[in-house]
Amino acid sequence: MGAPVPFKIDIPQSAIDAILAKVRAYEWHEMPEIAPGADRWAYGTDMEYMKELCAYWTSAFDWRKAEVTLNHFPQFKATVDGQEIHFIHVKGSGTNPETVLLTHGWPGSVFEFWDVIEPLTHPEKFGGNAEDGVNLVVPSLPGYAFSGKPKKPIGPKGTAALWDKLMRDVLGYKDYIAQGGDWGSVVTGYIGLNHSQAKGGGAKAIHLNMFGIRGAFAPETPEENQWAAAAALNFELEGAYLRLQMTKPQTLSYGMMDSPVGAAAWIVEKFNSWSDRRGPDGSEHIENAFTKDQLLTNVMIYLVTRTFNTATWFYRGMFEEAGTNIPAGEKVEVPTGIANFPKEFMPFPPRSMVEKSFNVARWSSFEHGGHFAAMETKSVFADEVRAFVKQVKAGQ
Amino acid sequence: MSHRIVPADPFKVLVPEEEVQDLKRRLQRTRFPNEPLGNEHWAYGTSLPYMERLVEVWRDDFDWRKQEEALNRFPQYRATLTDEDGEDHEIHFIYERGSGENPVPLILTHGWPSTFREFLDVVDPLAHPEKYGREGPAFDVIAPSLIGYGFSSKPRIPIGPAAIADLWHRLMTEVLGYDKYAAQAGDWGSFVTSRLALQHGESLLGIHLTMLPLRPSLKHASQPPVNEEEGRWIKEMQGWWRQEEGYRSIQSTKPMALAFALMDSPAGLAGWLADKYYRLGDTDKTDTMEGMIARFPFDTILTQLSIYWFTGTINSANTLYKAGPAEGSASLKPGEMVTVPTAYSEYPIDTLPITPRSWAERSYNIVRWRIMEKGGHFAAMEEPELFADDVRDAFREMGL
Repeated sequence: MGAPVPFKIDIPQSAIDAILAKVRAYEWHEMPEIAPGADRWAYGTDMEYMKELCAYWTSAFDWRKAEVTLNHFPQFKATVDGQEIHFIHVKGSGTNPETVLLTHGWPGSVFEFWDVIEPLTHPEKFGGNAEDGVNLVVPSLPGYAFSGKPKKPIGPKGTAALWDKLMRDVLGYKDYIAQGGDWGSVVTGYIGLNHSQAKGGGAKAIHLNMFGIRGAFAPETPEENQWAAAAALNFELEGAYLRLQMTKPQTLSYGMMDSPVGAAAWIVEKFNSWSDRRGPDGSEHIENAFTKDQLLTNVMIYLVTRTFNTATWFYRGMFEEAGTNIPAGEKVEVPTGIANFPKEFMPFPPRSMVEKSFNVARWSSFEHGGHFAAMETKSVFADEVRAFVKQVKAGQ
Repeated sequence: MSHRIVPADPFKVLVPEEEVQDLKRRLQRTRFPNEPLGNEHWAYGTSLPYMERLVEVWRDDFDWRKQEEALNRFPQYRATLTDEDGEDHEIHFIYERGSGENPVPLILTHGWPSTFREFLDVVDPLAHPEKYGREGPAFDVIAPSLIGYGFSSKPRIPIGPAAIADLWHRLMTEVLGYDKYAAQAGDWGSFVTSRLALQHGESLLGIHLTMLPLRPSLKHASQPPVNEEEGRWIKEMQGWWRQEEGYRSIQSTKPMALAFALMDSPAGLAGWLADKYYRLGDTDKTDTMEGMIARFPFDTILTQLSIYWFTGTINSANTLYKAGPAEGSASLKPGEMVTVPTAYSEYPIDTLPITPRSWAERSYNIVRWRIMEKGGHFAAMEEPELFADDVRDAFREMGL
């Protein structure tokens, strides 16, 4: 267990130039015709949007500026069980801050949490109370961004064990609250299941914005059945990337590791499909949820670290760990907060069903926001996590 | 003979030198991914050492001009057909007239990730059996590029096998002037050919398939309950697909998420397609590198890949997976089946269970049933002699 070593991102200019050269040289091609007014993303990534994004990428996007942003918070690397972990670590205001572990997913990065780090650690700067500040630990998943590339796939269950060691053995926190969406929700679920204080770990509560691990319960009520049917259909329409990355990540990787535009299209398609794209006038557009700078900063994190491939291994890692089912007879006993955002592409089942797998202590529903809740709703997400932490602190 | 003059434009494959050089430049600057431990048997997908070797050979040794010459060995044409929506489709095809007085017209349809090249080595043996010391029949061989593939045009929006079958029928009748003809295919070609038999059965002398794509309406009273052998086979197939269906799943839902990389990176295209040749070909899977090269020599597989690359058709080819299911043309209506005499030859794929004949007979009028000893999914390419003999024998047995 190595002590954390401070870390700054500093990508060689030649790597940036090589990426931009390929983006500039991209030869556009045909896509199936889309009828006027119809969804331009019906076949996947819209070419017109990719042209717009790439024009911005090569003319206006500034990686060095993004790098300054990404270096804004203290970052470290530490080795846990042979796996190098990159993480942001910010101490909170107040006399006795709780500690919160935020875990991102795919195809995101620690950057998803950028706009909530300051409000969570220093609420007094945003009109809140310094005593509500929390210590934040925000790691990059194994194989993602600035974390090390594992020699073979690691899944969410293995990652949960690494995270608990990171929190307790490396950083010396006696206890912590874990939060996550996407893979982060699965990792966080496993932390709640396997690394609670009752089981000798450090987790005293968890907070989820996606339904990750679950017990193998058949739906019972009409609402549960309706959810199960919708989830199955949704998986047919949206689950291809998962099927592929879970079985043959290597087959996909040759194209994605060689073509920056190709990787961007694969990633941006998810930011489009999974987010709340509704604008004030009711029309939908990806940029109602994200700016081009946000999309490109996240894409560039994959490209400059050359981790598209190893990031997809996480799916295969889950597969090799034999899925995400909670073993029969077990459930997550730590207090669990649920944040239900309306455009989450894998919505929570009815509370009755979640309660079979989790000790639900809080259930919040929102008017706006999707899969990338922290990035999409910023203060709403921060307020929700802060409120949950206060609730846990008060022992409710 | 009304079909002496072909009312279509003669065609030769000729890729501009600039594009040949551009491909080499792209291959030269390929950036490879890393590979997880334990991928010796392609368990995580396409093997890195294989890809490194393939890219090197493609860049340094592969002679496209030589392959181009081979592709141009037989007469090729492009015919333009306008569909019901007013869209023009240009259909590229090989057309080799058979020996003798009465050659049987035979349309051979390839699939994905293949091209008309798949049939190159069987055109001559099928058209001129006497040159190979074989009994007839001889065939007029028509081997088209699927719509959106190779040197055929790309559709404005993806079209499926039923629509392609209508175009094929018009190619055979309106353009080439045949009243009756035979058809042979595997993979997507077998969907098209099955639709040909369903939609234009009166013109079909018989069909020969190496894949059986149609699905019976099991709920209909005419269908007996699934028997034990069929039940086992269905279950095994489902297990196989769970491991293999990633490509199909993405191509049938979000092909445009994938297209940008495959249209930009020849190595990416190769990585995506090579997995299918490895998995579905009759490759020796003990020494995976040598087994793959022995079954699909670089000249062969790189010609296939080069056709996709130079024609820029990987995206339009992949979208067939979106159009096919959308058309719903593989599901038979209650009581519907192929009545055209059907020969089926299964070229075993090591990881796939053998199809029960009773299953096939639910959807097809099976008149001949063979389980072949060798050769995989790309049979015409893998075992050309065996394939040509089997096709000839099958149609002879049908009395052609």
